[in-house]
Amino acid sequence: MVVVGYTRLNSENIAEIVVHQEYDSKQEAIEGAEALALASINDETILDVIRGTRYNDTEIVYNVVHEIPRDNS
Amino acid sequence: MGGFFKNNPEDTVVGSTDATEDTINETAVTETDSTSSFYRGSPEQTTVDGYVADASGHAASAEQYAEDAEDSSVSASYFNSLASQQVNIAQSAANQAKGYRDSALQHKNSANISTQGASQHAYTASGYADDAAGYANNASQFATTASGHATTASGHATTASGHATTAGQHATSASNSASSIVNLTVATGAAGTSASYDAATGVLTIPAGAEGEDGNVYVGSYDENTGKVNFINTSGTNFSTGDLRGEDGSGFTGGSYDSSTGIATFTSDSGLGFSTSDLRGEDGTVEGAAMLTGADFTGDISVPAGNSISTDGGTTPTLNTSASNVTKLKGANLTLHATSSFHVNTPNTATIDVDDSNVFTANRDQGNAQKAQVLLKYDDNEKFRTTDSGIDVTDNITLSGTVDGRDVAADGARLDTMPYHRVRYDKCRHTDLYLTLTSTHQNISQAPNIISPATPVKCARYIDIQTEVEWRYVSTATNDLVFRLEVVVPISATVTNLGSATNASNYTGFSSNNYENWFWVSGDKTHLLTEFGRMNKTGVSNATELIARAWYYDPALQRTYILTESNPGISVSTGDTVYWHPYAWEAAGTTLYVEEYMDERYVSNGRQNITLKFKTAYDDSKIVYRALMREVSSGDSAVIYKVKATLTDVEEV
Repeated sequence: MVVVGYTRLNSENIAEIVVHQEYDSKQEAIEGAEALALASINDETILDVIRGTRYNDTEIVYNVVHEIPRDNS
Repeated sequence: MGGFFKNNPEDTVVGSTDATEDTINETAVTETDSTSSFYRGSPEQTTVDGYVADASGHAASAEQYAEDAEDSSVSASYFNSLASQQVNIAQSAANQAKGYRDSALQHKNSANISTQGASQHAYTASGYADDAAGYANNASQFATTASGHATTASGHATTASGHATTAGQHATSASNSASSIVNLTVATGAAGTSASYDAATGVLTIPAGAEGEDGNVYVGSYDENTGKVNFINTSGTNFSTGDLRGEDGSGFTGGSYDSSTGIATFTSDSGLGFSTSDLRGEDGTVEGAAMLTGADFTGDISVPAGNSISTDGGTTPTLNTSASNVTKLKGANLTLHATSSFHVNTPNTATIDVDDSNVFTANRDQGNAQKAQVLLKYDDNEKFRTTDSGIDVTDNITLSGTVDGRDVAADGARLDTMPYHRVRYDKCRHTDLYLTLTSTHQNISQAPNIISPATPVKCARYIDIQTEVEWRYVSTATNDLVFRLEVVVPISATVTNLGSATNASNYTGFSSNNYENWFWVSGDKTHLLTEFGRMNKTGVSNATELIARAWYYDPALQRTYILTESNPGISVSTGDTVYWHPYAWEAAGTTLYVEEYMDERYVSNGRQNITLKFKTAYDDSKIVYRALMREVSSGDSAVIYKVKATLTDVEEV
């Protein structure tokens, strides 16, 4: 399974990774991640949109960053 | 419309959304409208009538306002002090009147729109009527034209009949004449009479001619013995000519030359024959041009200075010499001058010898602007050429010595064992320019990217990051830092077939956790394996990817052992072919990352030195890195001082 997640600050101001959605194919996950990155432009609590692979019930390895196209100027 | 029907129920108001002709007829109030003198909702009223009536009302109002305005104007002239004001009022009233008039016209136009349907149908009917009249007219014209054609046809028929009658008469005459000629009989009449024709008997009599006199013809022949011509005829008046032959002539009848005696003999029938003496001259020197064919010279041929021996005959002028002797062209300064090409043609070995220690030189003729060069070929293929800058050699050079004192072969063998190796050092942040970390990843390099240039061969690419962290304060129990190294996928990444896998779960010396298993492939593949790459079993994108979690090369067995997943659907079995992609089959431009977590080491006024080393890909492409850091908790405060990056490229030999 290919997993799309994101990093956010929780109520204790600690960054944590949240699983957004799991997909059967990499291509579907890429499209989902790009959509999530666009939707997160104005949500400053979302720090990163990331993509990875679920290898078992408890282990997900993230290895790709999908940049949120924010204007930081 | 609102003013006109304002007191009626909604469903009786013509033009309202709820009104129909039926509701109007059934529920209309039949009282008189005092404004327009029109019966509101009367059974007879229609939408068109309503609009017309309303328009008439507005028109009347407009006229009334106009009159009022005029009256006001008159009054204004009377009241001089108020004249200007009254005129304005009058103008205003007049404008209002115009507005009502325009409104009336609009209503009237609306009414006209409703009547346009009927007019349109009437117009259409009129059009059809016009079309019918047109078709009728066309039919009449066609009938008239047909009648005319019929009359013309009748005239032609009459004329044709007349011609037929005349033709029949001519045919009868012709037939009669033909019959009379066929039956004609010819007879011969007496000589001197006239020709006559008896129509009764059909006999044509032609008189015979008078009898002529006999002819007198000569026949001639030539007698070569006597030289006479004899003429004879039937009338006996034969005669002959005299001897027509002339006297015999005199002269030579032949001649011959005897090369053994040198005497020429001439013969004649008239006694003029004679013989010459020996015509051959003495042997000696021949001066002037010698036009010889097949001459043998027993001595030297000398050509005076300024002259030359020229050949201009045949396709290939040749100077032949005896095959057993050496042929020399000698001279203090010997020039072989070929204006087109110069060939040395020998069936065996052609050798150019240079006597003593002299040098064979190919040099530019002093009088020639062209630069001379030497070209050597083998089997018509160029191998060696001198040029302005040196020499060009095609194909291999085999040396038994050295080049500038170096044994090229030995040096090359040594070079083959030396891998390409390059180290670059980038200082990415100034010492005194610190960066305050937050919970959001920030690039700790002052430049956005750290770039490792392309390499001439594929190399294992390493990056070492060194930085200093100073903790300003710590306020949470989670006091960790996260370092992220990002790599932008280059455009020329290639897949490597690692080979056929063999399950290594039964081998001792290897341990694994749940969902993990070892396998091995032949050869050393460790230079390929990194945290950024992935394996799969198809070699193409979108297949299930596996992580190389750990790896080890056994030099004794020459095997690379790899630890990876062992789950349903994600595992490697014996016989599987395993492929490696250095960037996990991600598209060029995609950002891959690896993160490392670090514990805080709070020291008052002290700094924590951090060094991280990453192996990224076995590649020859330019690789773009980004070094980022963040705090896990925003409740702490750490700053980054100097950042240094060391980029190392090492070829696998």
